Amino acid sequence: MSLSVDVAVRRPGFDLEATFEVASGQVVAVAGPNGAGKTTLLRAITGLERVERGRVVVGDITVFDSSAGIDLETERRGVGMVFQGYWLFPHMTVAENVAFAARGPADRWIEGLGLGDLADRYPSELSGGEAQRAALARALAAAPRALLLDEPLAALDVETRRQVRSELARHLAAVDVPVVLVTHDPLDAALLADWMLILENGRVTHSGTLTEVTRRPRTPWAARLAGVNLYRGEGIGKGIVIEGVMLAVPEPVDGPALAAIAPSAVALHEERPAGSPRNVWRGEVVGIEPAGSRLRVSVRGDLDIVAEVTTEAAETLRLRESAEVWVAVKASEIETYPA
Amino acid sequence: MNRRSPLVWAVAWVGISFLALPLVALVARVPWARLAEILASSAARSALWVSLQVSVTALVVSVVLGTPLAWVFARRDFRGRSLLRTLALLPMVLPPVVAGVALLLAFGRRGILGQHLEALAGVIIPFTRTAAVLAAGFVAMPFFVSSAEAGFASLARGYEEAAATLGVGRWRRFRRVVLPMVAPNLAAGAAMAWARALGEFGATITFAGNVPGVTQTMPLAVYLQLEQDPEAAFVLAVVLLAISVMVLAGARAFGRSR
Repeated sequence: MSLSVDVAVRRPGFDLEATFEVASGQVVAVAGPNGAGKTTLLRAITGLERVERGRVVVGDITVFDSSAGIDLETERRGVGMVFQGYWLFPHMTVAENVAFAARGPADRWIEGLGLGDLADRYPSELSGGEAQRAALARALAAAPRALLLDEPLAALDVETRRQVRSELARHLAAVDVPVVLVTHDPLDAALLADWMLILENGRVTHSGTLTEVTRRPRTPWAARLAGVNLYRGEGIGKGIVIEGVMLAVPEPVDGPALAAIAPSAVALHEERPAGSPRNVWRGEVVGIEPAGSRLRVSVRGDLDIVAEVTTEAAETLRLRESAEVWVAVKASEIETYPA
Repeated sequence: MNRRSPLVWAVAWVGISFLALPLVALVARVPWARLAEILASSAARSALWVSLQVSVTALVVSVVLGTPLAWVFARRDFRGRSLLRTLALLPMVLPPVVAGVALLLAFGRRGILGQHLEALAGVIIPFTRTAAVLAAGFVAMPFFVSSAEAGFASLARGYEEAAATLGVGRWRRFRRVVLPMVAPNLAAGAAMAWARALGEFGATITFAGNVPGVTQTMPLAVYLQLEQDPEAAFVLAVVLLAISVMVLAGARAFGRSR
């Protein structure tokens, strides 16, 4: 079984086009900025959102096909969804919520998701994490042939989120249908998903494993997600010209190209460094903020760049706002790829 | 805010007195000694029975026709929706005698529908029990529709959408998810509609007449008895008052229990 999606949704001032396929037991994370169309994409798959054109196949059943005039009602699609707001029925207990959806005995899902002690509680008596589990149990009990989760952790506070995330990872690993999970948190994508899609402004801008996407981001949003510096330039053989600055790169590149530089690969110096790095320019420190045990230093110069340095290095360099520094990046640390 | 504002208190006292005094006066004049005798009289029993039948039937009609109507108003967007909504709620503010005249012109023997009913099926509606039900239903149904629509409209669609993604079909979604959640609104609407049907006077006397045992409901009997046996009128009136108090108290208790 797999889930194959090819949809175009058009609304005034917004349109969405996305094509992808998820195999059984695979989890794909859909990430992207607010308003990119992530929730709309899920609703289009379930049939809650009107799709203008395309085809959705769940397992071996075509649930939507505009050219064949197929448009199954939501309840006949076999696509389960855990909504961001969960929508547990407030007049039913946890057990009744699950039983309402269940094909066959509900106990299996209540026990399987550790809801045994909560079975007789009403949704208003559940914590955020418990409600999330109840909603997942209810969705799974309906025996869906594909499962969608819309920001499953967004409603939780930071503490709970960590714990629920690892629980969710465990439960999703046991699910043997295709899973699509919408998130805005790269950590969710890393820990819950096998691969990811990035949706920006109604279009898929990236797809691949988290490593692939973060190594070669194509858009500013993806670069921020990956935490790398991203430049658009023109390849001229062994170098790339970005905003008039020539950077030496390890692999020959020609034509429009992108260059990604990890902040940890950027070295800062007090004096112009002598020796090997060929990519050197002068800049001014415009911002310093902590990032874990290290510091992220924003430098404005010929090329604006973010460097990551240890606190010791920052002390030695006497780094502070508006200090002058030399930026050095080894050619081998620059990832270039066609734009 | 000034908590001691004598003028406001004074006006409020006048207001509550104005509303309470007539009710106190009614209760004070009820001949409690004759209560059992009057209620046992055939005229009173017949009026009570007619009222009960008419108002309950009108309530059933209101609920059966009003629920889908309220659903459509709350959940569907279509051209002319607000016009139709206004039309549907109009009987709430329409003078009942105007409603009676309008019903006559629609279902009377010369009415636009009534003449065909008589010609084709031999059905004559005015001045029958059916007419009393139509009159009561016409003025009562909007109360139910209004309350039910408010309930449907305030229910987030997420619940139904979630139920649909669980593979639950339309009818079961409505019965198991929507109905239980809007039940308080439906109950309150039904109580208001029933109370209104029970108290209906103007449209009934215009369209259904005042036939003892057929269309003579409690309010009509009260009005009639006022001339013949005022004490009997007071007793019947206080019965209606008691029912009204119970409806209101029931609706509030239901509202609190949520």
